[in-house]
Amino acid sequence: MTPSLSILVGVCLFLSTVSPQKKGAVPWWTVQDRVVTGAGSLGAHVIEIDLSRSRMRVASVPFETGKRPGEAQLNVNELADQLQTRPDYRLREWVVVNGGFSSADPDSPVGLLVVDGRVYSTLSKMPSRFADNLSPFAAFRLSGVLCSRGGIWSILSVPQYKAGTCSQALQAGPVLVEPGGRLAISKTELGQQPFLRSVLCLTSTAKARVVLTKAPAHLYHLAVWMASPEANTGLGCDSALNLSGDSSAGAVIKPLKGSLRTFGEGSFPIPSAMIFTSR
Amino acid sequence: MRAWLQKARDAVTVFLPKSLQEILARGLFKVLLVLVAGVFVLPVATLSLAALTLQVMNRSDYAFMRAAGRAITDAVHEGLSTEEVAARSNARLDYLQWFEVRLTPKKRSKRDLALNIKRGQKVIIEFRALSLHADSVGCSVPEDDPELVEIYLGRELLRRLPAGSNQTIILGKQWWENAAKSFDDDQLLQTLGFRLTPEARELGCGEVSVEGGVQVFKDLYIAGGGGGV
Repeated sequence: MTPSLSILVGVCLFLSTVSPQKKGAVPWWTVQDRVVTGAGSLGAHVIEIDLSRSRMRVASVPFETGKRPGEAQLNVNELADQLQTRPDYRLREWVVVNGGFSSADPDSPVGLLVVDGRVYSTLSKMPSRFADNLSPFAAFRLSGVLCSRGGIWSILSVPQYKAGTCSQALQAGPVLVEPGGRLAISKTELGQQPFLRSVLCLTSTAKARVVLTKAPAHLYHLAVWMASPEANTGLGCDSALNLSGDSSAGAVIKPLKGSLRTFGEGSFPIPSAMIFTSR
Repeated sequence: MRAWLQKARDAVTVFLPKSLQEILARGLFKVLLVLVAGVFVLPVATLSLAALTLQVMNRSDYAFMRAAGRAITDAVHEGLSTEEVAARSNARLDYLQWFEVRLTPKKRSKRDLALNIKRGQKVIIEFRALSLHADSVGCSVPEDDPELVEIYLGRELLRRLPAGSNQTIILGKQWWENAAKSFDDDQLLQTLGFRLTPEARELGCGEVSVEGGVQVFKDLYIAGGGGGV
């Protein structure tokens, strides 16, 4: 082999080993500890997921673990432990986040749940107790539907949802930020009790940001912060949906190397979850 | 004697509030007495007299007097919404029974709840939540809001309900006036039945869950009886 050919072969070999690392050098998920501005010293974990480089799906927790509703009653940490044992999840990175609200059975959902086109639970039209404006996002208690259409995720209002149009869907609420970055929670919410919160934010740049507060928080403070542009130390959300909170709120990250990382309390059983995996 | 009384009055006046002393000094005491009588004493006396009159009428040996007394009493209660207020404060609640029922098209399409209702007794059945869920991974439930459950009292169909929350069935005066003849057997009153509708029974899968409570009140609506609130 001539010296120049050797050099060429060497460079090709070097590039072939660098390229996967280059791909992996920018992770598809990151975690930051942030302070919610305007809410004193309220801290929050913010898990950012690049939706252009990952897959997000909605899951029914009992069905995901091969059980029927009422048989499983797993919290988000226990669900993560179950995913760990599965061959399709053991060797890859994933993120799991708690989903929507429960009915009388902790693992039976309230509101819409659509998984791979199957409707596991129908739309809830329970009226809101605090409908103090005319927005379609204010009329119902579970006012938002996280919906996937053609692989694109968005947050719809209950009146906007049309049966059969979302291949994946999860209803929760209230909506904190209406699509377009508009604040959807009024100051009267400050009169309610604060709770530990889990909120899903979608940005206009195909990013999902999961916010898990470290202490009980008011939705109003979170909404203002999440709607504020990033240049103003806000989270820059185009839309944001409140998920099940308090002891249900939690997320687990399975990195490529190392053990599971848990965020939030995540001790109460959940009926649904969101699972993110790399493409 | 008069002088002594005057002095006694002056002595008492010293201890009165300044406003009352002012009224006495201006000679307005009698006017004040008339006002107090008109605003406080007369209405109470009138109501007491009205209540006494109604009591006498309701206990009269004459049927027309008793009927007139009942009619006046009903009109007063309706006008003052006393029933509504009493219901809110649970003052007339006889008992409360919660229920949580699961129905499936295949195995369990009907359930009965044992009750203890007297003929004509006021009943409020509240459905806190009624929902349809998939019961297996391959199951997909319809989204077109079908009516899911039929509610029966004995053999009498009360209502067909779709999925939803905070739905109420009230068995009040009007209902009993229309339905009393359907319950010639008191045993029929002792069962609240939950049945899947024919549309729900045709579903291949799924589970309907119904949560709520039955409030049974002391009020008796019996046609021709002493009844009413």
